[in-house]
Amino acid sequence: MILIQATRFCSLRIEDIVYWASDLGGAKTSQYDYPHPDWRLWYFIALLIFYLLLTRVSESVLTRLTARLSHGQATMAGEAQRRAGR
Amino acid sequence: MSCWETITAYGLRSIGVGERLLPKGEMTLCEHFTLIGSGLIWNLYFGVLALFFGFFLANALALAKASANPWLRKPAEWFIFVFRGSPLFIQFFLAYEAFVLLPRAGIDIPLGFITITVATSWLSKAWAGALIVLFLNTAAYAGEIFYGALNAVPKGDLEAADAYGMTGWTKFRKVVWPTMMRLAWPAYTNEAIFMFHATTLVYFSGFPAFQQKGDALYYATYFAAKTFNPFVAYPVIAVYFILLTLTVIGIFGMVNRRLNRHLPQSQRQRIRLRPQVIR
Repeated sequence: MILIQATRFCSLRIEDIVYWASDLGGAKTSQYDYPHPDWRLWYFIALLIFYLLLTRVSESVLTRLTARLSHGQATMAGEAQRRAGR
Repeated sequence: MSCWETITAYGLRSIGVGERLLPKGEMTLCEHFTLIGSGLIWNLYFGVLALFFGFFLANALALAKASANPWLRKPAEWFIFVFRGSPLFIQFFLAYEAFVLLPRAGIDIPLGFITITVATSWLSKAWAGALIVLFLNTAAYAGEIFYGALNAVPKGDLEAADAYGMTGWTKFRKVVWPTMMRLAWPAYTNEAIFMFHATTLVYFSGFPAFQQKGDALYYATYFAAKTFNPFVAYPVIAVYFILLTLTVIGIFGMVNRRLNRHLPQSQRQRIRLRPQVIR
């Protein structure tokens, strides 16, 4: 998950999705004077939702993997699974 | 200006002590090291306080997430999901926008006979607003680490505690929590290091620096912009952060030794610096 988020920092020179969000969203940049007001807030909220969905997907995979790996282990998680009768 | 004069003038520049104007003309290594080092005060401030307060919230979150009660578990899960699932710079941006929306004059809370005015303007300043974001962020990450460690507490330890007749709070304090800390500590050290690196994002996205009082990266960017030479300023900040990381590893290693002191010599895990060449 950190890796997905860190991809943003490769892009301080490369123009990625966040770059465009902050650039197109702003009311004024060094190159253009957009006719619309500051849209960055909405762009960033959309990005937030996008990242959360991405996290959801990776988290569901990882949760399944964790459950599988802790199955039958002599740990609290394994014990809880045994108690639950799985 | 001799180097000592530079240090006295700019050593505490980032907190508003000393010369107001940033160096304009000659920028030697001394200016670089002094000013970026002075910015490091802010990185230390954010990192240390966020980690300290985050530690307690993280413990609470880990226990809440592991609890069987859905009223405790669900909020903790959602909190961890939101703060772990979104990039820190978006959190900074949204938090700053939200804090700016609050009325500058403060919020009046009428209490019948008396009206209390809650000041809100300090929230949009970096020292408080960014600290809150960092605190919540590190609490979410560390909470997940602690939760994982809690799930990995050996069954034998719990059975031994039961055999001694320990229950409830005593069992948690004497057996579960120390083991949980011991298991989580290497990963938590990692989180602490990441946290200090994340503090550079404060003035980078979202929060503005008032009167050019910024953190280390802020001054490094200033030097890079003024001298058109990023190959001096950024290595200088890198040196500072490597030193900071070594300090963090040293301090957390001491705690780790204390947490592992009951184990036989051969089983102890030391936190070692393993430089990752390939990532």
